[in-house]
Amino acid sequence: MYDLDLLEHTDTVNELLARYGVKFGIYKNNTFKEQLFPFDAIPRVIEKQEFDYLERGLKQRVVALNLFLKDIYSDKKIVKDGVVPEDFIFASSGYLAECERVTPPKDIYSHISGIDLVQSKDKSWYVLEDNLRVPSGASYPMIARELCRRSSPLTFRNIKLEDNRNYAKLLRRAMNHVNVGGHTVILTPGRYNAAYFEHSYLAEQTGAHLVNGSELVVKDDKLYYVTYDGRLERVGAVYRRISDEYLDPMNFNPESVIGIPHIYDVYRKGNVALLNAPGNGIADDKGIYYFVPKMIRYYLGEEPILQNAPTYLPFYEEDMRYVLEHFDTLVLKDVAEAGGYGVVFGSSMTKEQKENFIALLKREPRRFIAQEVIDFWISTF
Amino acid sequence: MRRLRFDYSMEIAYTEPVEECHYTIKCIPPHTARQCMEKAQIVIRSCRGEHTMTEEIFPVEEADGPCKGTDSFGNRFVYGKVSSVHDRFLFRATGLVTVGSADSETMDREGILPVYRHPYGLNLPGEGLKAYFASLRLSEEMSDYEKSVELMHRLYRDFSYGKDVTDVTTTAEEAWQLGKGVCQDYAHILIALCHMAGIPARYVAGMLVGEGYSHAWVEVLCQGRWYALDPTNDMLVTDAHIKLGVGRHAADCMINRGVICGGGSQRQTVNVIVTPV
Repeated sequence: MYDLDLLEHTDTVNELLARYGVKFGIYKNNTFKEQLFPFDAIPRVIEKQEFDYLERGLKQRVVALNLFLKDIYSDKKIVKDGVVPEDFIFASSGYLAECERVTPPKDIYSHISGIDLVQSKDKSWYVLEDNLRVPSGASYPMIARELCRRSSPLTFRNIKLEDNRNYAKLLRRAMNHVNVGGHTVILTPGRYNAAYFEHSYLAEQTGAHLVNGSELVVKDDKLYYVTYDGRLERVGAVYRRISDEYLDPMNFNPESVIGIPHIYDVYRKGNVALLNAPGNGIADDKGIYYFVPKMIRYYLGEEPILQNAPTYLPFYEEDMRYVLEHFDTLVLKDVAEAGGYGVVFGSSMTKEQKENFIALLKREPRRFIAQEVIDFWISTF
Repeated sequence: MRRLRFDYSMEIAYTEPVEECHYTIKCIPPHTARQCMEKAQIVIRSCRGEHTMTEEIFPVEEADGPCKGTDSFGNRFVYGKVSSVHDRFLFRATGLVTVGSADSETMDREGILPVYRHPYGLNLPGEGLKAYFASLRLSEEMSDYEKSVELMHRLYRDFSYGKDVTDVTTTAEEAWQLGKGVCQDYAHILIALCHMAGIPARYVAGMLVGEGYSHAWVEVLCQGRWYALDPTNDMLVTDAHIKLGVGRHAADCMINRGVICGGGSQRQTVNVIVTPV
């Protein structure tokens, strides 16, 4: 029997979320709008045994992805051994040549990973995509849980559950682990970033300074935080919530005004840790996603615990044939796009659209992946 | 083989004062199988009116040291920041280099090699270059080296030299459509053509005896060795060429890069003197 106390407090939780400003910003038609997260008190229950299975699978996946990043930016054994075709690496916009032979502290590239999972109608779990650049999202369930506890202590007294309240501690431990000496800071592009609530919340919860680009300076190959009275204090780790492109105008996009000139030169010398490491985009590319199970076998010699959604690469002739034969039942994704863009369903195309798309597919097979459409399992009581 | 003295100086004059400037200078001849740098130094100066505000001297014989580094393409650089208000920024790199006359050199930094096989940034071809390449009908009998040299000859014939038509952001395709350009454009187009022929190719920034300005050319990888071709002059690189940097395209080995605060509009003057010793 489920305790319904929390359900009765849904409105209270939503009011509290609004009061705390738990928002996520969306750009639509060139205007920035912040929206509250609607909170649904009916949880998706994951039983302990299943949670443990997911945890094992996710750990395995992230370890393999991290080894892949290290390999790609150094020896490239996985390419030389023919497991991943060269084209999928070097023609991808996620690969940054500037990261070649640059080793992050303790060889860690992906400190914080956002791996998207779905559960299909038959209750099996699939990984939909990996996000290893600047994933957002940890703060929202953290504060929601906190507010649920406050609104309905009864629920938490009566139901045994695994808590997520240790996330801040884990994050702090990860940041300390790679810190090369000095402060740990969380770098935000500022108030108008979609996930600004998250940046400030994580800073508060971990005790790290929340800073913007103008508060950090590079001097003599080291990174410093400029204090209120103008002193310079060494920074050893930066959990940066700005993308690679905007991180350093001297090494990446010269137009960036939110980055720190030369921070990448400090990183290159090993004098600061950046979480996540620059260059991670090559591991969460949609084309590379297909190869993650192969990566797990290649680097770890283990069978993947979690499965990918069934995916086909038209780059391979055999897969191309399958895709053409089953076009109407598949979803096609442009590997260069993200966030739901460049996704089309075979079944919803007109005859003409279909012909055009197939012509494009044949011309640029590397650009697309095809997946079986997964019907989500919807939790019911 | 020749011993060359080089003197590369650049000045940027601003119409408004600059409060802060960050710079990265990639102007240090690398040691390679073809060339050997004996000594070099870089002097960076900022001025306001007639007054020198800051001066920084980097001896660069040693690769390691504060505010020095090597990028992923193997280019050495110095970097820093000027915090005094200034209206002119100058740098001068001087040194002595012995350049050999071999036509090629062995592979270096093998790890990064694949990036030179794939079109990227300014060397991405468009429809115009693709059509041009197809019209050349290179014989499959030729070796990669012969193909590269043939592509250089054809490009020299079909493209003309012209200043002030293109700038540092012009792509190979844009330059090709304009029909005119400078050494950077010749290099980007030749790289694009080599890629289409399946030959790895990279951009080289450098200096040339008697040129007066910085120069650029191309290296192609054939049978495990990098051969250097100068498409602007339709010649193989000689012992009059000093190499400064390499990359996929010009932006990877830009000799100076800067971010400034203030400054209004700017005028950049470059003067390069390379003389045999």
